[in-house]
Amino acid sequence: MTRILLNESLRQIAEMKKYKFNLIFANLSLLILFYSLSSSFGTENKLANFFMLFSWYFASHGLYIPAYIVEEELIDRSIVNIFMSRTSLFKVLIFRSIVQVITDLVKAVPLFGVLAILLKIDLGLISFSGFLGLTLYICLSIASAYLLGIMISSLSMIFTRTNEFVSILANFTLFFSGTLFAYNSNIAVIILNKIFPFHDLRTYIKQLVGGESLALSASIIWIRFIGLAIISYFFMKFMLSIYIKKEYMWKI
Amino acid sequence: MNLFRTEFTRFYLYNRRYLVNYISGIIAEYVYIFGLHLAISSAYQIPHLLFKLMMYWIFQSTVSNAVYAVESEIRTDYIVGILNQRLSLYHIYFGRAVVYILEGLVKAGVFALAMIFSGAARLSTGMAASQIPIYFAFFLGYLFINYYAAIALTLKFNRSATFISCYMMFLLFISGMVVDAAGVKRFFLSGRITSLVDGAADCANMPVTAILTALVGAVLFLYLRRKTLLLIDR
Repeated sequence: MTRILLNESLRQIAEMKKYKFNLIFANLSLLILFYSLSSSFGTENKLANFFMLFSWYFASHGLYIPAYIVEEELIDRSIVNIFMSRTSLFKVLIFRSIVQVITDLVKAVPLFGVLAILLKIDLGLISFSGFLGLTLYICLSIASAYLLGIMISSLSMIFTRTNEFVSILANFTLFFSGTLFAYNSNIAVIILNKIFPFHDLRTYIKQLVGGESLALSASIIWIRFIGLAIISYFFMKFMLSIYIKKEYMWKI
Repeated sequence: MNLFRTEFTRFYLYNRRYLVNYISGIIAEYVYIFGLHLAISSAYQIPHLLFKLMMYWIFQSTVSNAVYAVESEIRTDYIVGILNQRLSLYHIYFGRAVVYILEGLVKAGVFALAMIFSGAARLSTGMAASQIPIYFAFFLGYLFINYYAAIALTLKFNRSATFISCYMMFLLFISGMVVDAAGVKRFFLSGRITSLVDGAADCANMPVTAILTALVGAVLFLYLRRKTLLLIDR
């Protein structure tokens, strides 16, 4: 299994070389955006922003990629092959998401390396064990975003096009869910932030740097992750049953 | 006049066909611009931020709309038809520019009104009434230079959307069109033009800026004319 994942990731990375100019300019524009928005903050906020932007970079792809994959499968009708195989669609999406995370890692390391140098990030504020914990919770938050993406992708079995809706969510999570600053002046935003994983991750990082107790924010991140895993699995099953029962396959 | 009517009809029919996608795209843009306004106003102290951001939005949406249109025409091979028309490509895209600018004006106007009535921001400029036409003349001149340059770039390289979006980030944050994050805005035309919004301090520079703008435009125009003529011959 690991070999298949690794081979697929290597194939994707080799494919990236074909679009190297696109990749360079896309990363450069993100670098300008991230640098300009966090260069004027203080040291602690800069550190929090750095890790938040790092998780947002992965999580925004997490919202996009499953919807994109399902849409492509629907348009090509290759989704029928997945139905006929022994692997479920949910499993296929999880595997492709892991491949995406590995390829994103290759793209993110240079981008965030340069950003850390430009922003003069001081990693000494976090101890080694704290850093390990932080890595775990960043991974959990990214996984939650992918699970949310899978949930949205199952909507596209009925609405066919959902990518613009996802871009609303990606913009929303960048500015209003605590990635750059805590924005808490609107009740709708507060409710939405209970769904997205970023707000609690920011609280976690702040408490980690401040040396406070981490139990509450850490358990919230765990509960959200497990809840989203269960909900997205059953939601996808439900949507698939509608898709097959109402014969949407012939209505693209 | 006929050209503008055709372009308006094209715009209307195209967006009516993909109405849900179009509306979601506009909502995504509103979320983005509102978020930018919040982020910039909390990170920097910028006078007349709302006005500068609105002008940037019009600029950005006009140029990137044109780039997307040219790219999709290249992909579907419609560009061959356009290059062989009686009207030149630059005439046709002039008509489109008017449509795009009007669309940007409506979008930005609605956003500015919403911000003003919700009390989130004030629309203000530091310009005297006599400076406003000068500012808009410079702004439109610079907009059209960038607009045609972006189109020609796309014709040359087929894909340029990511480069253009990177350039737009540069204009927004570094060149001083809205934010001057690196403190280098006096080196760029867009920064010099935007400094008009802040008041009369930089007005002495304006003849220099005018000459520079005209020079850049003329050089670009001559270069691109040759390039596109070559493209038609091919």
